[in-house]
Amino acid sequence: MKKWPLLLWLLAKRLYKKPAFLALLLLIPLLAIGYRLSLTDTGGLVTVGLVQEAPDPLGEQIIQELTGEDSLIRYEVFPSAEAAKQQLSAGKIHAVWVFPDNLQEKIEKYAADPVRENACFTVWERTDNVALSLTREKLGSKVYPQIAQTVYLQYLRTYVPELAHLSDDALLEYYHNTAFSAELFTFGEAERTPEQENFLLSPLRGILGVLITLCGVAAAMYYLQDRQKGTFTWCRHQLLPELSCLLVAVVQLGIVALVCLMACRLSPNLLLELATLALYSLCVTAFSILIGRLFPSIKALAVALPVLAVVMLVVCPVFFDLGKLRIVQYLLPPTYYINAVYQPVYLGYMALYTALCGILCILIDKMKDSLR
Amino acid sequence: MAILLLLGGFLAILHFTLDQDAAKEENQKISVAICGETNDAFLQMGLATVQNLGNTRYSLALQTMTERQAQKALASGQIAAFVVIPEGFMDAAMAGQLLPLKMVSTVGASGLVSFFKEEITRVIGAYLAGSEKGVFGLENAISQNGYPVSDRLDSLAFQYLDHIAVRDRIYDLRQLGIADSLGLQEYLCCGLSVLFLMLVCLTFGPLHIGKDPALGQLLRAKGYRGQTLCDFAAYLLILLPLSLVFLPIFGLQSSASLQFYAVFQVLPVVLMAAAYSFLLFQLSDNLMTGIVMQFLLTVGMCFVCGCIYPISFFPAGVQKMADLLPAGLARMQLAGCFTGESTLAAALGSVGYSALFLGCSIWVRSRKTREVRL
Repeated sequence: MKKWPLLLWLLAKRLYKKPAFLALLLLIPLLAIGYRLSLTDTGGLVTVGLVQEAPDPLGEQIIQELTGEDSLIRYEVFPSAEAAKQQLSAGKIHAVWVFPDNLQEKIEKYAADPVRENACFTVWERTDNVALSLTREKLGSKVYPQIAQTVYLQYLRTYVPELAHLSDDALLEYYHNTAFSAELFTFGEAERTPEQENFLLSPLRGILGVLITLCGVAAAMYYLQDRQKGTFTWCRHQLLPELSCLLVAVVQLGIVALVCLMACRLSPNLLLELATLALYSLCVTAFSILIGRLFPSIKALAVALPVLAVVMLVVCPVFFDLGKLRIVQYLLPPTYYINAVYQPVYLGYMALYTALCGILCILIDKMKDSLR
Repeated sequence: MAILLLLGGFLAILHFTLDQDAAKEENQKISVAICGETNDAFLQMGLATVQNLGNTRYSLALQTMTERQAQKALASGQIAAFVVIPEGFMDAAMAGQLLPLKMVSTVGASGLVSFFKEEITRVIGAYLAGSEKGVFGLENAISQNGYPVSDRLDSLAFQYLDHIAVRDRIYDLRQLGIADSLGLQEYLCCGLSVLFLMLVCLTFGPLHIGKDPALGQLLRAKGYRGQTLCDFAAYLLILLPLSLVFLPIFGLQSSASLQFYAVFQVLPVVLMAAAYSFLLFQLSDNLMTGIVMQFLLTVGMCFVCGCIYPISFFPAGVQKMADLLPAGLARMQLAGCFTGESTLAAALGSVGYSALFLGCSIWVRSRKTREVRL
């Protein structure tokens, strides 16, 4: 045990002598920073084609407002509905909103009788989904101030005859003089950098988390290869070299992951990040030792590896969150790593998970011993 | 046994990922909790309107709970966000003032609410501000001219509520259908097939990485050439049946019919995936590095090539680059399996990349076998 630091250093030195390992350590931050720099604009979750059928000041104003907004919905203006629908059919855009030529007139008709026949816009989509449904809410809300104003005027004209002598402009003055702002919400989370808000950059933390876990499992295979060669026969307790082999690899990749996250400004708090990384290194090591116990040969681990990689990418909330697989998520270390920085309660869960993996390893070892 | 495990694992993942019917069910709704002062009758009526009327009911599930419960539910992923209604919100609203609402959402990489948070709050703000302006504008107009307001405020407020409830009637929604292009499900099917195919190669890492060059050196000394090609052919022969079994199964998961000649369209993709992974195996000098490197490059490339998120999410520059990268070409080639369209350029690109990767592999291997240690 006294020579454990020496063993760790020797194992690390063994890896540094491998040019491919050094190349890997350099490649990870280079790829991450290169990717970060290539995202010159944020892209969009949904692309909507906007079409103004014929000149109309209100429609053109709304189109101008939409295209000028900083939004996850990307807008492209098309000269005709046919051109936009062609792009829609080809899957290049997700929806087409056609603005009529007499929008104000249509709004007045709709405000008086909000039935489908009086619809103001035509929306074309290929198939419906939740993101497109949220996008359509945007269209409705953009025109709602005009509808609310028209409903107000129509109500006054119909139900308040006492004010019939006032002009529309005079009545609208009362409407505009109320001090209501559409900025109704404040956000309860900590301040986030634009990089953390960027949906194309935020999966990086998850990818690095999966990469570290996979490195742990690959290190377990490497250890099995060493054991076959008899590299550690001099050691009385086999757990020590196993733990050291895995920890050395995982910690080095963890440090590189930290550099990536800092360089891409995806880390909210360095101290919390360091604590998460330290615990995650232990967690991945314990998990990899457990996987090594469950798949005790290189061949078995090699078969399990791609399945494990894909399961982690799909089930853990790296790219999307499959809510129905929540229980499976908790079986995999990246779930804790992805959540811990933003919800520190996951640090506790991670510690518990690490302890459970350790206990399971000891139980499996004891079972194997008793079977012998 | 190993192939069965791989197939079983992939099919289970695919089923959960691309289950189309489930996408329409309750669990795909966005769950949002409402906390704070929710006992007011008007507020409950408003919430019921949002929850039960209009097309929101297909996409939003509202639950009322305490802030503490909401924080726990958010941490465990049961809800996507919660909104805190401050004390005195309704009294202030009745007096013509809207107190700010606090919204807390998930911060991870994966929530629609998290991404659309600002859009959603802008939408809600526009509806509330427009309606409140109308109601209080009416009150000011009547009272400032010396007339009694009576029940006219409530009457106008109900008109606004009606408009909000049927707000989806402002547009006439028409659907083109999928036609001869890919739906989201088929698209993801192609993208994930490329990712799975490239990751399945990890299984063969231990066979090729860190291989002792002694046999190669001996054969070379005896004048036998082409050992690298023979190794690659053997590798391809193992990978090919595996791919040809599981790729058509992907087709069964989608709603579009898979063309019968799809098997032939898959061949250039399998060839390229094999050559790509074979080159990475040759470049690696130890098992751990080889596997981590292959995973990193594969996932990174598949991500920017639109195999995980639709390519339209990415900026134009990344989209152009994706069309030229191996995973982008492979995705386009597999798309032809569903659309039946000719993908000659993608096929040629795939074969070209295969030749390049194989050429590089031969060069790397020949350098290794040339280093005869005496």
